[in-house]
Amino acid sequence: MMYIICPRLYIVFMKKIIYSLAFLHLLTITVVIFHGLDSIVHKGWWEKPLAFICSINYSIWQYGFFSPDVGKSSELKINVHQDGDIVNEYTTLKGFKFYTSNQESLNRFYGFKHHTASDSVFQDLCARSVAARMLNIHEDAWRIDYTMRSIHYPKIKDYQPNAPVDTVEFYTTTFVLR
Amino acid sequence: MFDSLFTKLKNSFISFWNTPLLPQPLGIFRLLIAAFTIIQALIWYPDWLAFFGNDGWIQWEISRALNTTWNIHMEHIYKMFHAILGLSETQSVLTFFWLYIIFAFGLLIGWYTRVWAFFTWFCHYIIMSTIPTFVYGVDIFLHIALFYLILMPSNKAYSLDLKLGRVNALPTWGVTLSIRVLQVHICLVYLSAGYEKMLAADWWNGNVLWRSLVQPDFRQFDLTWLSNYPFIPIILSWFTMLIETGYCIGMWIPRVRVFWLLGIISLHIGIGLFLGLWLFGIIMILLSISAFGFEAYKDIKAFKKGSQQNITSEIKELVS
Repeated sequence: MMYIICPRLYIVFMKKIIYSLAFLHLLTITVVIFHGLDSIVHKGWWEKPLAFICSINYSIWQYGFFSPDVGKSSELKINVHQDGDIVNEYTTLKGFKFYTSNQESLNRFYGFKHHTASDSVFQDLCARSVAARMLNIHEDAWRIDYTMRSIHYPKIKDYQPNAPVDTVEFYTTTFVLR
Repeated sequence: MFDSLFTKLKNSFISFWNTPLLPQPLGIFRLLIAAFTIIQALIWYPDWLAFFGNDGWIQWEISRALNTTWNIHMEHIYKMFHAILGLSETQSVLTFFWLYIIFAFGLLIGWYTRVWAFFTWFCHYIIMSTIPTFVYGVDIFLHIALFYLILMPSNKAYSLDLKLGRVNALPTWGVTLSIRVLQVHICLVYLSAGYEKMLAADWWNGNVLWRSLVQPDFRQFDLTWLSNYPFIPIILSWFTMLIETGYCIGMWIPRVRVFWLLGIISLHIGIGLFLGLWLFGIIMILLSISAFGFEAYKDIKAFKKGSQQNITSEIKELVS
């Protein structure tokens, strides 16, 4: 309607709105990445709208959050017990690659391990899901042991060749079918 | 004096955001991101069912429970395909894959660009909602880029829309705003990533880099010999912090920009080569090239032209 009455005024008006939205978008990114909303973002009615905006364009996202965690690692060990006392051991420390076809798919399990290491409810759900996957792969399996350990690599000055790497078990569970 | 300084600053600010720029960088941005989307999906294809199928690593009922209620999940796509076409779970997941490829191809050729950009973004949104536990940096930056492609006039260069006369290639304020938003966003990303590294002591003494290079998740080569030369991880860590934090300054200085762009490219090639995060490294390179590549290219051309003019004038002086 406004465009029909006065196209020039409409364009100026729209231009102002578009610029305002763009600045608001950049302002949001700036405030969030410099932790300006950390104390309030998860407390209040705005939590869900903010999560929704984040899922649309990731403007409510902190890119540097991962910096201190780079270099931390964990081990995932899955023992699959099959008929005839056969035990297949899968451990990420010995090169278990989750049956992925390439490096890019494998990279996704770093995030998976990171997520599972930080949330106890999530650990149970993921262990169950991974056990179901293993049971689908090994049809005669009857027991799955699922263990997670955090790995403490030595600092560069403390490194000793061939010295065992410190691991601390923080989660273990077993699924038995019989 | 303050008045003139203020006026000068105000004019520079307005000119920065408003002076119409050529749309070529946006065309390049679209081509790079659409091609990347297709390549990433094809690399993912052999493991597609293991990640997205109901019998994958994380079953649907669990990944749905991890999500917020409004998110659209692969299970919803299955229900829709099943109701309309009678497809099974596996068929639905694979149909979704090929639709994603088709949408990204539409975006690549730039035919009704914004429509395909929206559908590609929407598919990617479903991908992110279905596997929240497997998402990492590459997905987040691809999602941001696809979101921008819905809104930005990326069809004003190198597109079928342009060939068919649906749009023109004239510089507009919309192009300028789009390029500036992308540039500022990337600068903020690197500034944040760089300064947060600076807050961690282990980044200053090289331990973070050392652990990343030797731990089994990322290890590509046996680099434990680095413990004999601890200065190497320290220098590389400092280089990373400098390049990332200084990105928001270096990229705005003509000529320095070329070296900074090369620095950031080499940093991400290093991440790909030594940590195996190839796709993450590539998308970060593509974003930097999209945001600042065209200006860096103009810097190189201006530098060549300038040095050629200098040589010509020197020859003329010698002849005379």
